Amino acid sequence: MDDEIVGISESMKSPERDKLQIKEGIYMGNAVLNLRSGPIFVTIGMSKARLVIDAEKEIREFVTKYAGKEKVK
Amino acid sequence: MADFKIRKDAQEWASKMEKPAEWLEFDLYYLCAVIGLSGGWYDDKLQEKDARGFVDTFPGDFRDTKELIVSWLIAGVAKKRSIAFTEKKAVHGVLKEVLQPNPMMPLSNEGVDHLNRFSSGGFEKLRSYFDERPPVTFDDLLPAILSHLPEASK
Repeated sequence: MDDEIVGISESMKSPERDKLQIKEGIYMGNAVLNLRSGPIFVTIGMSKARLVIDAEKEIREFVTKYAGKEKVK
Repeated sequence: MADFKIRKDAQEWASKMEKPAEWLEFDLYYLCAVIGLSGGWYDDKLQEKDARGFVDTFPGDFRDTKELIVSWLIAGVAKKRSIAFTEKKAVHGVLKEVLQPNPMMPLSNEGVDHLNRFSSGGFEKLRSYFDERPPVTFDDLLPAILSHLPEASK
């Protein structure tokens, strides 16, 4: 599958709605991109975000953030 | 702007648990949302009276990871409606509904409502992991959650 834009939100700044505008490497709108590696989400000021949630990884990272910190009630 | 809302019984459930001093109310909301989104548990029946709004933007460290949460929500809403990412018009519809053009708060009111419902659905699961007895300490959360995550999300 070729890389393809399948969704662009209303916040897309470019009037050309069939293309995702990329300016100096920064995505300028919200879009879901279909890539060979799977779908991703891009939005203003960021590069890419995974659309598939790795819950175990996220929860481990979340818990690690607080590891060793003092606990209170 | 819509509030992130946490269920009142979720607040009560976690109130006696020993938590890190830096703990935010959004931490519990986030944990429940991750569980809800990973398993597709969405609370259609959440009512206004059962939840309390506590913040209307992503707080603390979540400011830096909000795009990730937003992306999971887009995927969660699309999956709930059996929309494939190749369906351009339908995906566009989800983005239009869930997002708003505000980089500080990218979720629309409808988007926040969807996330509230996934978080509520996730809390229902989280509570069931503990047989109705809340965990004594935050450290008890991880093993219980990990042992119950759907295989697809591991």
